[in-house]
Amino acid sequence: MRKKGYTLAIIFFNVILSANQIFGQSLNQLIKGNFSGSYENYSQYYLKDDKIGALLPLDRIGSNGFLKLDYNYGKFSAGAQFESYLPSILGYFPIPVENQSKIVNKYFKYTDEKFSVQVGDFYEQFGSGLIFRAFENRQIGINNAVEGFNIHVNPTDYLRMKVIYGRTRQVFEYAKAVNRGFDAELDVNQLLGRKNDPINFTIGGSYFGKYQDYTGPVDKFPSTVHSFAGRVDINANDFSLSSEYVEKASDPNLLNNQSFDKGKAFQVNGSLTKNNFGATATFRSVYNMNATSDRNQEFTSIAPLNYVPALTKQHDYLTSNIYVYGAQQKGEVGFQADVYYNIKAGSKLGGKYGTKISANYSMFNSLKESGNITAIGKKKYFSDANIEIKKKFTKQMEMTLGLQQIFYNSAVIQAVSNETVLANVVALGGLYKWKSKKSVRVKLEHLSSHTDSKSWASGLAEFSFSSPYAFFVSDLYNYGKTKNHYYNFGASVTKKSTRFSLSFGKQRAGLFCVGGICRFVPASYGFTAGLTTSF
Amino acid sequence: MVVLSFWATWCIPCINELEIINDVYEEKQVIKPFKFYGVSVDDSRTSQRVKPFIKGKGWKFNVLMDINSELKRYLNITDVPHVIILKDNKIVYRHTGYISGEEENLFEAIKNL
Repeated sequence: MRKKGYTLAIIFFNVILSANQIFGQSLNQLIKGNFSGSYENYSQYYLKDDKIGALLPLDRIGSNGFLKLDYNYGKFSAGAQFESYLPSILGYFPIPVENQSKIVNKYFKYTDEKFSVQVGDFYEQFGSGLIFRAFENRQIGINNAVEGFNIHVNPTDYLRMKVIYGRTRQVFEYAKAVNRGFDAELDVNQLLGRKNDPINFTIGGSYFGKYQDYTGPVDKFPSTVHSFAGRVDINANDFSLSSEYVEKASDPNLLNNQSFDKGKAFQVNGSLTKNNFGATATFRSVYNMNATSDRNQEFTSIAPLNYVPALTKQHDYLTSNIYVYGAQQKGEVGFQADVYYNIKAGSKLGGKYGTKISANYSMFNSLKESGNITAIGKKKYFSDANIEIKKKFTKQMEMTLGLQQIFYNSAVIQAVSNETVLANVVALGGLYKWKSKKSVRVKLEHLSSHTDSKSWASGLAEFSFSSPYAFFVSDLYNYGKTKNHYYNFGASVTKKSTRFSLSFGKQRAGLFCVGGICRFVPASYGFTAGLTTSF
Repeated sequence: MVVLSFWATWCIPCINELEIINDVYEEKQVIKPFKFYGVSVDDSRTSQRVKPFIKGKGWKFNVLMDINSELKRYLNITDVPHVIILKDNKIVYRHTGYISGEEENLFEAIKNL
């Protein structure tokens, strides 16, 4: 007995010693790995202003903080994100988050040449994202990462496959539905050994399914929703053509009024390029494409499953951002076209330094009838026709002229009034550099409209004459109706990858759209501070 | 040495920075050759615009696509524009934001590294 005990002790001791050695070695190796991260904070201090409708939240402050940490060692990587809302910025979440901080988006990943596995929270996209997309956009408050696993396999040089499984993040919890998906992409030229052909073909297909338990009274209610998508991409040097078709099975939920209809989406894009010229056009038709990870979810920005952005141009104008389009996932059909042209430097029309022109047109209408994505309806939702000309006159000075006409159907887009708006915008901008690292940028705009809030005028000036500092002052004035001045002024300082900014002013209530996704932002008045750093 | 400049077709300061870099691109390559990539973080909403955009602007450097922001996230970039210089598998320079004149610091760094 004693001998056995003694042997056991020896074995145990050896195991500990070896473990120590292995652990010691591992610790040594771990230190050779690489830590990196970033920190971002966006805070506001609110003041009251009855004239613009800026109400005070219970806490006078809002503060969103994000700390992301990653560790890489060879083929392994791991990380986590720590988020805090003390409480959340006004308008960031549809229902404010009060004083909560948590570790979210934790993951562990192994990446090899033909194979990678990620366990934990991941981001992913199939095709254009119409069938499935998990991503983060902090400016608009979207983070629908999936917690589960994400496996990529590229068995040959012409085939790429993805398999995913998990649940979608819902603020600080996970949505009830369980997702599973599969995507495959085939490089046809590579398969046929014709990679050097002038035209390249790629085809892809996706499956996405979600299951959410149903305990209600409705007969034959689909607790599982299957979606399928197919895509084709054709690429050549001077042109490209790509298209995708998505079909979603019956998915009754709160956002689509418990409709049992199938969801359908079709998108096709073509582009032409030559030296100094580029043109692109996208046509898209969607019906019932709200894909949510919780059928009782009332907000489109919380736990969505796909990405159906507004296919319109994002403008850098204070005035035209009053009328931004939000994609109507329940049904819309439209297109967008862009043309870019560079009138070369030295030519007669281009001048000494050249002139750049960009024109854009987008238009969205209702569908003629429910369930049919092939017929355009008569109800116009939105259109935007715009052109921008930029000319550099001297080494120190350049000017930009922008003209825009917007048609905006408020009843559909904001469900606020029954009005439609036809707005004409003129914007004139200039940049003047009088010395190295000393410049001023000015922009003046005017928006004319006979309806809604009528006419607006705005001015913006940005100065930098003492790098790393920059200052700005702006005013957006609604002289046509409310006589409200939405002024703002502030400064920023940047050093390497750290930037701190502080501003004070008034923010208009309205649709705030970033990257094609919109959320309604209430009016606010007060201080805003922002800090970002990467390490 | 590789220089990565993260941008998007909707980011005006990014476009301003890349226009300036494009204007002096060829002469800077003569002074000291460097690999330069404009990494676009345009997602499927605007990614189809990238090639016509750069052709229409007459940009001379290579552009890579980061459609679901994987590389941007991996490099812990929070906002664009953001420039990174890589040398010997290390990040030796990084800068966020763009104000007129900032490109001079970038070229200074390229010259000295």
